[in-house]
Amino acid sequence: MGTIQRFVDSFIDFEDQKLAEQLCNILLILMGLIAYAIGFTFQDLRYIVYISLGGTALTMLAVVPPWPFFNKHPVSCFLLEQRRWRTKSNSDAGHGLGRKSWVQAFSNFSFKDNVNAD
Amino acid sequence: MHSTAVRIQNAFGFFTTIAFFVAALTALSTILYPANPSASINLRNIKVRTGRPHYTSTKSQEYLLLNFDLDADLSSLFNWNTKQVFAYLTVIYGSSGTANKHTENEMVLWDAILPSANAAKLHLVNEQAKYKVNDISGKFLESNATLRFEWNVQPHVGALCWGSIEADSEGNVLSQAEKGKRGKWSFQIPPAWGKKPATKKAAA
Repeated sequence: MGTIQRFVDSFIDFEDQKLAEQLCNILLILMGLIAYAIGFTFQDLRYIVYISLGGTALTMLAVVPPWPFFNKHPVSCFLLEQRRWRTKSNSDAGHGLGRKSWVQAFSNFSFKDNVNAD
Repeated sequence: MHSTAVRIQNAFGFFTTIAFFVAALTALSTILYPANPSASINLRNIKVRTGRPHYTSTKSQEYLLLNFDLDADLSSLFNWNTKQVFAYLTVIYGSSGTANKHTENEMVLWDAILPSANAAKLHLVNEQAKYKVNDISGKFLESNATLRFEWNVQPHVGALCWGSIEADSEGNVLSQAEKGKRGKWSFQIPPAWGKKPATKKAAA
């Protein structure tokens, strides 16, 4: 469940959320312009449709998955909370202080730890 | 943009916005393609027969059956945004006596779907009208009638637009003059077959 949730959420840090949104907008606007220009040159609407669909797929590929370049400003303010929550169980192998990214901090967080300390 | 679902939603939402604007630009680009269609019609054979609407009814109706020649060139209406052109021929006739706007009747005689510019060059000889014309009162009363050739341009994206070509009583096409080619566009509806003329014609 944890891995599914991590996969579905795919958090990226704040600065790179701005980058993701800008990238998405720029790519889609360029796609629209290129699709219309090529369609108008060849006088065929099919070019517009195919280039638009392909451009959208490319944009989704570039923006949706959490690529490594969306990890340039990792947020590490949650590590202290994580240490407090996890003192009850001893299963935090390899987690200490130090610069860790927000992605990694959240990836080990699961609801079970907080609710029922079994 | 904090999770996958949000990024997918935002990207797709912006795509639909861009698609709307591209479609609007495509629809606007039709202004760059002015069209000049032309048509000429010659009526061959005009018949009025009486019949019944269906087998068991007692109402007797007059039906107008026409044969005509049609030469039309609608290929200039086709641009990259045109899906097809719907061309149709209507007959306009007035009721007995004065024909004003509220007593004029229009009936479609014949239509055709033209899916490409090649099909839009029409050359029909002695074509029979597809649809019979009948009046709601059952009688035509030998009114004057005229033909009008109309078309409807159906685009891929954008607004529909209509156009028509009419001719005056001498056969001069009103939208553009067809030199040397003067077809017969208007006629008087004859009496039904087997019946005497209801209106006495003035000494001709």
